[in-house]
Amino acid sequence: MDRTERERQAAQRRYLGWGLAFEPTMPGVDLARDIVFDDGPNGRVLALVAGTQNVAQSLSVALTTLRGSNVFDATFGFDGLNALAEQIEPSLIREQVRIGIITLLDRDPRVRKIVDVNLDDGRLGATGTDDAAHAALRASRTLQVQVQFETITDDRLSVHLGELPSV
Amino acid sequence: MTDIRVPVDGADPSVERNLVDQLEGPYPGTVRRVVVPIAAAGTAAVDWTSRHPLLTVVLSRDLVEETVRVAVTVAPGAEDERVLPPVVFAPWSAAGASIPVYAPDTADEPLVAAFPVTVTAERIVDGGSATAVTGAALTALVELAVLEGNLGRLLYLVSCEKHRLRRAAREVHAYRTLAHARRDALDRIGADVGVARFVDELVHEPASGEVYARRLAPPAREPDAAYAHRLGLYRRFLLPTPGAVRRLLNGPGADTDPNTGLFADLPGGARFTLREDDDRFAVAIRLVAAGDPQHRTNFLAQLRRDRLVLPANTPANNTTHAGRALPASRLTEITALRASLRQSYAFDSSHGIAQPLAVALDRAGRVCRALGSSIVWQVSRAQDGAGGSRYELGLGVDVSWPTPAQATDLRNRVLDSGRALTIDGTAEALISAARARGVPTVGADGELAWLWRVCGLATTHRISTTTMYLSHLPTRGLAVTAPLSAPVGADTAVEAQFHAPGDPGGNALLLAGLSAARAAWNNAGEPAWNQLTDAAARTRWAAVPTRPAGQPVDQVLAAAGLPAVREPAPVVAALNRLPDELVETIELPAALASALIAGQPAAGDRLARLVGLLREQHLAAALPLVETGNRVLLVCSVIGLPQAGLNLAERRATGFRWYTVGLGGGTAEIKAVGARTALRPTHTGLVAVVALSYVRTGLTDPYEFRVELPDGVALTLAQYERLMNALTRVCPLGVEINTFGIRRDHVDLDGNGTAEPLRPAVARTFRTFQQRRHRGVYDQL
Repeated sequence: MDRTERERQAAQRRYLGWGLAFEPTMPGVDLARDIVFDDGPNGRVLALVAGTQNVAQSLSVALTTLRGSNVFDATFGFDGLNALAEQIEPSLIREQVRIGIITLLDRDPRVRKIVDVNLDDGRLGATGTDDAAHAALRASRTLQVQVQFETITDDRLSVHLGELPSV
Repeated sequence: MTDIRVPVDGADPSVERNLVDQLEGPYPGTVRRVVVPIAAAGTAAVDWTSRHPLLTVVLSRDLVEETVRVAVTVAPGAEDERVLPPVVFAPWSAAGASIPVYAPDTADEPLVAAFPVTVTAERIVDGGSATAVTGAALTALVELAVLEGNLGRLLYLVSCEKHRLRRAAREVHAYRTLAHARRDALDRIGADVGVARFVDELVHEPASGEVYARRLAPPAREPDAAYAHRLGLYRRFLLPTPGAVRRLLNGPGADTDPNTGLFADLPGGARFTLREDDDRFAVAIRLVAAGDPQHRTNFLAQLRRDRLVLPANTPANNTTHAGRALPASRLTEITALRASLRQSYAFDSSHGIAQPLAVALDRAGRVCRALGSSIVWQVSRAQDGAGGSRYELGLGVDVSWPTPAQATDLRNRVLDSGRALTIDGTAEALISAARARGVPTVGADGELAWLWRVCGLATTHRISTTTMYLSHLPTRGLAVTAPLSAPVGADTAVEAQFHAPGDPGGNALLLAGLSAARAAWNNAGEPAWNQLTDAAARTRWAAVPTRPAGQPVDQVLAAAGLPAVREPAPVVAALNRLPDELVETIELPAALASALIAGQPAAGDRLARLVGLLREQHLAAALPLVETGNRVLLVCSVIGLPQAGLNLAERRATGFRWYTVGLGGGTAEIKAVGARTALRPTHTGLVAVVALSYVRTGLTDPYEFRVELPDGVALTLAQYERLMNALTRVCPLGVEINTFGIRRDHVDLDGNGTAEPLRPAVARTFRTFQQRRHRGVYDQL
């Protein structure tokens, strides 16, 4: 690793922070996340994430936390989950989800610029083609969320938020 | 049991369950907490594939002073059976507290297959032996819970100390309560209320009869339990009402329930009885003109003209009533009252009665009429200016005695629950009240006192075989004898006497008591005694010889609790100064007297039984006089006697208090006490001489209540001491608590299970629990 890369990683760690690693326990089945342990020099230690991985994990946790459910930070979390449960027009729901994601990203000081928020429920694919994968997605009535943004360290990240129940 | 729950973290004390409930976002899904039910046989099964499981044993109820040890075996009976080290819940652990018992290694493989377990539990109380807990008791005591996930394990690890904190908080809290405080904590509570721990003990010295406090040998001190029991007296809000005092001494429950209160340690769970049924004062009033007798004549004329009810329907009586300056409605009421009275009573034209008496008599008449009885009571005497204290103010009447047939008829009619009700609501209510109080037989109550009393006539006093005296005032046969007029500035003798039924007679209480005692004595198979007349008694007293000391009779008299008179002269002189009616003398049966003089112990026992009978009849004193010729006299009285004092009761059985009420400018001075006193008018006019008297018949005095125990129950010295301190604590200002019966019959001094009379000198030999509080007193405890 050259010096530039080391400096870049140091900057990422400094400005994007680090935290405990919370890994999905049942990927694709449930949103649950659990801490994990690694082997350390003196035994098992808590696994950590840093830099862009930390940002991505933070956003994933925030996007899967109902806004207002954290009694110590009532503004933390994703408000789009509430929109999904409301009896309103599906297109409006999608817009509310989009706004919720943007609001959540704006709240994080490590995000400098939102590049794209892509919501895909199989009805309007990114490619404009209606292949078998999109048909299956549409049939499953789930919503896939893909977010692209730039961090304050000039990293461009694309976070796949997994699947949210669609309408 | 004192509630020692500590509200540390809400109603649900399970720390990890609360933590799980606080998780949000993606975390709750990874921290699962599942309760695993335990069967009565102690078996349970984690019957699912768990992820990073942590098996915990959870306490289902609060522990007090007990230790619970739980052993868990994983996969019992299988090849991979693992007997896990037992977990221990220390005393005061709170419900919801948990201890990890099994955490399989999941470093390589997070998922753990289903596994069965067995649970056994033991209880250890106060360091005793362990007792196995099985069946429903086991499932009520502990449960198993599985916490899943690394995050769950981590949260449990960082929070498990809270169980210990909760336990410590509960223990501290418990030590602030009397039920659980120990050692120094108890001393601090005692310092708060000013009650120190005893370092001595009460001891009875049989030889001298003394009771004293003996210091315990250091380092022995009063045990915690006994000290806490004493402190319980002072660690509660206590309003000294009768109900509160009963609850304090006996605990809750009915009179038949065992004692669960401060004296739950009494033999057989005996309960204290608090008596507060007062003897009523008797009243008699005598009008005495101070100086000119005309004052009295004028007053009585005015009384008849303006106040008395004149029931007879004569022109003169009608004119008198019509001439009174009363509203028309009131005159109508009185006219109706007179008419109603005439239906049930036969009055002469001259009869007049006070209005309260007229109303009470009318009630009785209406009751008789409502019962369908046609009885008409013949009134032979009403207000009579020359009739003495009973009649001169119209406060009483003489009425014909009912025939046995009439009395039986009235009794039967009252007891007839099937009789048709009348429209007279007052009469019907009185009939119901009489029935509720109980209607005695005609043989026991020939005067029908039950009828008169329920109608408001407190006095039913037999005057002769044909008449009885009725009054709404409680007089109990009391009469005041005094002249009609008295000169100003000179002493005039006045006298009060409780006449026995069938006046004139001796003191009612004394004669009735002797009569009842004689009946009981004869019923026990003892020969009858001879009751002397007043004159004969005084003659016999004068002939009592002087005796030398050391005669055998002195010992048997002392055994019966009676004094021995060896120098009769001063005693007889004092006896002669007492009123005749307050003293009666009986001559003991000859055989008994001879045996007493011979000093036979059996005779002493018989005499003691006789003294007991007299005491039961509320006589106050008895004085034996040993005559020549193997004869023994026993002087009895309702007041104290010379040399004997009050040796049968704690106080005199009767007494009188005098005062005067001036009328028309008359005033007088009078000596306040005594059956006989002197009146000295100081200004001319009229004076009403009032005698207020009491007769103790076993009930309490006003502003007094009595504490009693069932026969045969004996208090230890410590219990007696506790009782006296408890009563000191609950004694309201101005109220006397009578413990005479307790001290006489219920204190076991020598620990043999039988009570001995507590001598007055020893009665107050108990330690006072509560002392005045001083700064720094705790340091001295």
